[in-house]
Formats: sequence, structure tokens, C-alpha cells
Amino acid sequence: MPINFQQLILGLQEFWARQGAMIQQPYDVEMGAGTMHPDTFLRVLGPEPWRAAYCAPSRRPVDGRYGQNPFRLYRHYQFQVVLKPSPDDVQDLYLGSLRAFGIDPQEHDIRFEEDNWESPTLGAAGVGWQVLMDGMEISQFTYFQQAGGLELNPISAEITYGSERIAMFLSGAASVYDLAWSQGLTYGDVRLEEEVEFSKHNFEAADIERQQRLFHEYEAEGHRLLAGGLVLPAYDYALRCSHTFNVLEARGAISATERTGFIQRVRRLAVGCAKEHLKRRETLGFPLLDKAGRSRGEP
Amino acid sequence: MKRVAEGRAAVFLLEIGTEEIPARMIPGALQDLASAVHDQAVAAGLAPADRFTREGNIETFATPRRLAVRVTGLRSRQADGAVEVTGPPARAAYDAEGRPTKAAVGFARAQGVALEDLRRIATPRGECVAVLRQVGGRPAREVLAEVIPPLVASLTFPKTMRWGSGEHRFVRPVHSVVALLDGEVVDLALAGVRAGRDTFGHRFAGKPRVPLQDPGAYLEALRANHVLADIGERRRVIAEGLRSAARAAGARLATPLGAAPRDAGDIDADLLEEVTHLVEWPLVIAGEFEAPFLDLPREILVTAMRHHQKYFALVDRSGGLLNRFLAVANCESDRAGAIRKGNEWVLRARLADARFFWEDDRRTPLGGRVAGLERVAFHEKLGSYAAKVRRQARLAEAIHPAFAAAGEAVDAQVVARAAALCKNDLTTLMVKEFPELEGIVGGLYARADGLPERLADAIYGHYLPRGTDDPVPASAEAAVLGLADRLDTQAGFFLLGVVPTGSRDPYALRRSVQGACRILIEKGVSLSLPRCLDLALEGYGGGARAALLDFYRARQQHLGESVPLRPDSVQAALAASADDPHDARLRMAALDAMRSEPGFEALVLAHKRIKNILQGQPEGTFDPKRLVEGAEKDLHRALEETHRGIEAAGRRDPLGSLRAIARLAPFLDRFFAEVMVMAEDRSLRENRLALLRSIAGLFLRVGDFSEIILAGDPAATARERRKG
Repeated sequence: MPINFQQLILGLQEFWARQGAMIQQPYDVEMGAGTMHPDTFLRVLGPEPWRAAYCAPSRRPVDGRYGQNPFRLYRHYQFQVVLKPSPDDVQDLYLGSLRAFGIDPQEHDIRFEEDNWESPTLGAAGVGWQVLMDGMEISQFTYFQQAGGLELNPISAEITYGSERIAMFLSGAASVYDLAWSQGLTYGDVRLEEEVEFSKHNFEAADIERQQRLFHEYEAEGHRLLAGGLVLPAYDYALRCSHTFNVLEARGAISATERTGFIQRVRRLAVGCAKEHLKRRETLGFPLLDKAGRSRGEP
Repeated sequence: MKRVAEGRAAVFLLEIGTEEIPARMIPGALQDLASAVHDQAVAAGLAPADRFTREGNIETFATPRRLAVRVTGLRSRQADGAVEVTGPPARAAYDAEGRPTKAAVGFARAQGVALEDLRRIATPRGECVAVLRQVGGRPAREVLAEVIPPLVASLTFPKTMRWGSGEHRFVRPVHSVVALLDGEVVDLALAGVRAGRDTFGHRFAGKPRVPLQDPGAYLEALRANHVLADIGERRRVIAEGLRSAARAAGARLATPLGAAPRDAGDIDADLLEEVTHLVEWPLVIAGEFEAPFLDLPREILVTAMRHHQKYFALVDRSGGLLNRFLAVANCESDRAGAIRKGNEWVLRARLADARFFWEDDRRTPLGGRVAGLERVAFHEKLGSYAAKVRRQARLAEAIHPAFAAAGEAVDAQVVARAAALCKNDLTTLMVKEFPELEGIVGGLYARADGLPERLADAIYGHYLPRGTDDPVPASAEAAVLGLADRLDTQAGFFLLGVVPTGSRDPYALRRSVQGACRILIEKGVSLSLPRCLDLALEGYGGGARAALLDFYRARQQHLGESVPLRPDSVQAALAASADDPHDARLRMAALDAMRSEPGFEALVLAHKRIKNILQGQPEGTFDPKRLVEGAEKDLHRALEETHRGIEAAGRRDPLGSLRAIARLAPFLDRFFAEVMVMAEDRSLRENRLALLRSIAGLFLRVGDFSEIILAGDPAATARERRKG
């Protein structure tokens, strides 16, 4: 059953909403992966339960191909699910979600192959798999072990669907730009110009000195806000730092030896936000714990 | 409750059901599990130490979702035994007249024995009273319930995780545990999961709950639910499936990249092993891709299939790559053909990607990529690849004459150009996508750019040997480059203090040093390691030479022993000198070969005798005029002849040297029989000692014979045991 791109997103939203996930919307600051969304990165900290799902536009400047490569995009859409604590039947839930967009696991070869995940900029690491369907990687499945440099307890499960790949696979499209987005519109109709222009920006046009200045400004502002107790605004600046670093890297402006230094600087800010956020939740008495208790009928 | 029949050997099954375990971790985990179960069964008195073995009594099974052991020949209860219980000190238990005190009475009562049954025993805290109590052995079920959980908890994996509430840690979340002793469940829990008798079938083609009557039913019950738990059987089924699918396509399985030609037509064993641990119920799927992709280099096509998709590539009768592949799926059938079509689509996407990379990369010639290397990190603390290339070019220039001296036709200009270009492929999209093709991609682009064939070959082969089974590069220039590359890497990491220890070798320095040694040994190139390493370390402006030389020595020993040569032959050669791996290998081999010759034992005994006499004696000077006895004059003459013989044989023929030394044996025998070495006259004594010392020096040109252990020597067995 060929489905279009938006049906895939809608199907996943509906499925996870039925599993009790809050359907969040994309965050409005540039980020490289859905994990950086505050509703994953900050919510996996501490003891409070959490279930959320959302579509996360992910910008990876180095992956830009001027709209010419049929499989690579500067910006793609991850569908992100975070479940905390990870339920016992999380693999079954995931397999159930495939049915939501018309995949019958009985008719395919679905495998979980080792693939661990680490994000030095977020001080985060997890253990998990890439999920393969008939040899194609369709999802990343991760049990978060650390985030913001903190050991996690309870553990969250994160599922990231590569929505373009899945939709292409299901429709047999030879290029991502031929993929049907909605009735009458292709992915190329919607996004091709953006890929071309941002590839030019990231590889050729971005002003290196200005971007470097912006990085320093974002970093300084982030630390200033964090010191003043404004954690969430500070975290936005950590995201901006991270994206600016990615642009600088695509622009070829970061030497081998500088690279680690930049990553550490983003990490310091992100880890600072994580620690401060956790303290804040503790001061508030971890309000979602009570809510979860009440909803289970506990006193 | 049914009692396990007394006296009959019991069978125990343990299965840990989990989420998908990484394929690479399964064999090690099973090994550890089986050994631990064996040792614990013996230690707990559940198995007779003499008739219970890891191989004979323990079977192991595994799929991605389960680890299992089945143990036969267990006692259904522990052997009965006596336990000594120590009581109060004897001086408190009896008064001066030897009458029992209150303490003795109390102890006897507590132990339920009569006062007469108390005995006196010596303990570290002095003489005490004690009783010997007969204890009945406990049932195996109870003992297993106690010993299995800590045993499983102590299994180690390269990486473990927590899940859910985070209380438990294992390689992946645990969902079910089967623990059956004959027909009965052993009451235990692993990672919070209670053991039962239910296993589970294939995720999609089997039942989620499969109850087991007893351990014997395990494999068949799973087979009925589309799980082949026996690893060997699964491997055979896959191998047969691959062969017959290849036959059906009129094709053969392709030889893995870089494999020796003798393996042609054989199944890629590493890939077979990996896919075996990725499936519970294998199904071989045959697929195709569009023929025009065959224009891409074979290396890229095979890597896309093998490394990225775990497909087996196929070749025609003449070895030409076909546009066909075989995949191993984890399911019962592909009735609708969806799996084949899916795999074909994925490969097509990969190959289209590769073609894009190939065309895009070709827009910049390999020679035009130098500037990009400044931005590729070799290591954050060791700078960029551009800096590495500069260092290693200097090294290559310094070492290539040694290759020429060994008769290798090295073109100095090719070495210099290849050294400058060899890392440029790191800036290509192709290497970013296929990092395992570093070097190879550079060679392919060099060829495509129309650079001389010899230059392209040097770049193409300079990573060889990548693993222990790989050959060293055929191209002399590639060998020079590969050696320079390795020396530079080793110097850099040793300066950082990154020295491999135990299982920790994150930068694969063992493999790097072994690769360097193998290039020298197999190309027959002699050079001085201390000098080369100094040069390499100079590139970074630092020390660490001693540690690196020690490390080289250890790797030479490992390589020598895996030839295989006897460990003490290897030791003896390296103890004399480990500075030139090629020369050391020749000496090891000579020592080892000499051992089957008739003169060897006499040689060792002569060395021992000389060494004993020389022990602690001061160095003296030798003067042939001071030789008086006939036997010593003859020995001296023979020695001079031996010297000439050895010089003529040269360093390349240590076996000839050994044989020449062996011919001294009768002269030595006569010398020891007729000449008093430790003569009263000091000048005679010193002269004789000096004569012996120069003979000892001859031995040392080949090896340090004190390391040689003759059969029957008590040290021999002791050392063997230590090694095991």
C-alpha cells in the first residue's frame, strides 16, 4: 500500500498518541537531531515519567548536496518518540507502530542490529540498535544511559524513525525529490529550493568571521542566562551554538585541532543547562511524579 | 512435588531470553557462561571433578534473543560430607582438672551432641573444642538456585546497559528465564525475571510462549517455533543455502577482498559467522542490481554489499563480479517477494549513492586535495593528517634504501610522490562513506586520474596487511609507505602514553606493530628498529623509545610463536637482539630448525658448561701465545675456522652459523677433558676463560642459549604449564 510522506507522519502521531504519548510540535530553533529537542534532552533527566512524540526537522549542514543526491539531505525529518521509563514491551510497541503505516512485519525481514549512540556535545550516550527492514535502516532505537553528563535513572527509550527513507522505501521512489508529500505535491516541490540554497549557504556563502563571532556571542549569552537562572533560554543558546558550529564545519572553517575545543564548549553549556534544569525540577518537587502516582490511583 | 530420582544423572537447562544481543558478543558470552557453569557445578559438589568437563558435559546454544546452556551428568544432590564446627577455646571449655565447664556443656547442647563427642583441635587462635557433624548434601535444585544468579550477574560483556527502572544491568534487557533441572523449575530470578519453563519462538513465525517438559525438549520445541538454537546447525543451513543459491544462479561466491587466492570459492567465513548470529531462522534470498553499476570499481561494489548490507557477492566462472547477491534474512519465507525487492531497493540506493560519490570526487583530482588534509584530524592531540603526511614522507625517504638493499626494486621517486598523496583520499566522499576502503579509494582515484600505475599501486596497497590473514603489499613502494605510516602512528601514540594493555588497544597498535614486523620479515628487509623509531619519534620531537622497543619485542615474539616456532627458540633469538625483526626471525627459525639436528643437544650442553664456568669471572685478555696444551691450541684453531665459516655464511644464514658452531663440540669436549680451565696460574686461567668467552660470543650472534629448554628438563614442563 503506497502512502505519501504526510500520511506517514500522521500515522505515527496517531499511533503514539494512542500509546499515551503527548504529541509535541517541532522546536523552533535549528538542531541537528530530534534528541536535542528540550522535550527529549531535558525530560530524560531525573525521575519523572515522560512520553512524547513529535516530528523533528534535523539540520545537518555537511550532508547538504545541492539537491542533487537522491538520498542525502541537508535537512530531513526525524520522527521522534521518547518513553520514560522504557516500557517492558517497547520493542513490541515499536513493531506495532510499523503497522500504523502499512508494514506487516510478517511479510518483511525485520532485525535489530547493534548500533550504539553517543553525542559528545550533549554529554549523552545510549545503547541500542538500528532497526533494519529488508536490509534498510528504518529506525534508531536507543536506551539512554547518560545525558548532560549525568547517569540516568530511570532509563528512557528513544525511537527515531527516518521518515523520508521509510516513505521512499514504501513507495519505491528512486529519488527523495520524487517522493509524494501529499496528494499532488512531491517532496521536491516542497523542499528542493531549500536544499539548493542552504547547501550554497553552508558550503560557500556563510560568512566565516561572522559565524565565529555569532558562536562566541551565543555561548556568552547562554552562560550569562544560565548564571541568572534562566535555564530554558540558556539551552536555546546552546542549540544555536551547536548549529553555528555545524555551519562552520561545513564551511571548512574548523581545523582538526580546533574541533574538539568547539565541541567541548557547546557541551559545557548544554551540560550546565541539564544540571540546572534537574535542580529546578527537584526544587519543584518533581511534579510529574505526583501526577503519575495519582493517575495510577495511588494516594 | 516430584523428587528427582536419586543416583541418576540430572540435566540442567538455563536459557536467558533477551532483546537482540550484538552478534559480536555472543560467542564470548557463551564461552564465559559455559566455563562459569562448569566451574561452579564442580565447586558446589554437583559434579565429579574427574568426570565432568566443559566439552563433554556442557552444550551451548544461542540466537540473537537468547543465551543457553544445557548441562548433563549432574548429581541430583550434593555428596554428603562432614563439617567441623569450632567451639570455645579448650582452656575455657575445661577446668584445671579437665572437667567440662559451662562453656563446653553449652556448646555441646547447641550442637546437639554428647559431651564425649567434643574433640580438641588446633586453630590459629589456639587449641579449641570442636565437633564433627555429618551433613547431608542439599538437593541440586536448591544449590543451583543459589549459584546461578551471581554467576550470570558476573558475566562480562564489552558493553552493558540498564533499562526501565534502571535497577538491573545486562547486555540487553532480560525478558524470560528458563531454568529446568530435569522436569522441574529451579526457583531463581535473573535481572528481576523469575525462572519458569516457558521459552519463546521466533518473533513473527513462532509462539510467544513455548512450555518445555524437560531440558531434552529444548531444541525440538524451538525448531517447531522457527528457531534454530544450535549455532553449528544454523551455520550449516546458511552455508548450504548460500552454496545452492549460488549454484542455481550459475555462479560462485566471491572471495573476500584481500583474501589469499587459495580461499577462492570458499564462503567468506567472517561474514558467515556474523550473519549466523543475526538470525534465528535463516532464509537465503537471491537478488540482483542493475548491470550498469558494474562500471563502478569492484572494491566499492563488494564493500557496499558485504560491509554495509552483509550480502554475499557472486562471481561468474572466470571470477568476474556479477550483478547478483545473496542476503540472509531472519524469516520463514518470502512468499510475496517483498524481502527480495526491499533488499534490491536498498542496494540500488547504496550503489546510486556510491556512483554519486565517485562522480563528485572525480571533479577534484587526488593531487588537488592536499589543502583539505589540514582539516582532517589524525588525533586531536597529534594534529592533522597534513602534518602526519609530512612526517611520514620523511620517514619513507629514510627507510626506502633498506628495501633496495634487500633486493626490492624501489623507485625513490614513486615513494616520494605516493607518500605525499597517500592520505588525500581521506577528504573524498567515498572514504567518508566507506572508511574501510581508505587507501584503496586513493589508489582507484589515482588510476582514474591517469597517474602512473606504479604510483596508484603504492597508494592502493599501503594499508596492507589490514588483518592477520591479509598479505603484505606486493608493491615495494606500498610496503615502504605502509611501514612509514605505521612507525609514525606508533611513535605518536606511545608519546601520548597510549600503550596497549590487556584487552585495551583502542588504536589497534598491536596490529600496527605486527604489520610493520611482517612487512620487514616477509620482504626480507633488515633495518635497525632503534634508529627508525628514533627518527619517527623525532617527527614529534619526543622520547618513549624504550617502551616502544619493548612493545616491538613482544609483538615479534607473538608472531614467531604463531609461525609456529617453539617459544624458547623465539625467546633465545630475541634475548640476543630484537632490533632487526627480519634478522631476528631468521635466527629464531634457525634455532628452531637446528633442534631436530643431531648436534643440537651437544650445542646446548656446551653452552651451559661454558656459561657456568664464566659465571662471575672477570673479563680477561686473550693471547694465542699463552696457549700451552694441545687441546686448547686445537680448540683455538677450530674456533678461528668457525669464525671464518660464519663470516662467509653471513648474517643471512644463521643456521649455517649454528652448524659451524656445532662442529666445535668435539674440540670443546677434548678441551674440557684435558685442560684445567681454572688453573693455578692466573695468566693461563685468564687466557682460557677468554677463549671460552669468545666462543660464548659466537653463540650470542644467533641466540641466547640459556633460554633454550631441552626435553626432559624439569624447567620445560614448569614453563609450559605457566604458559597455559
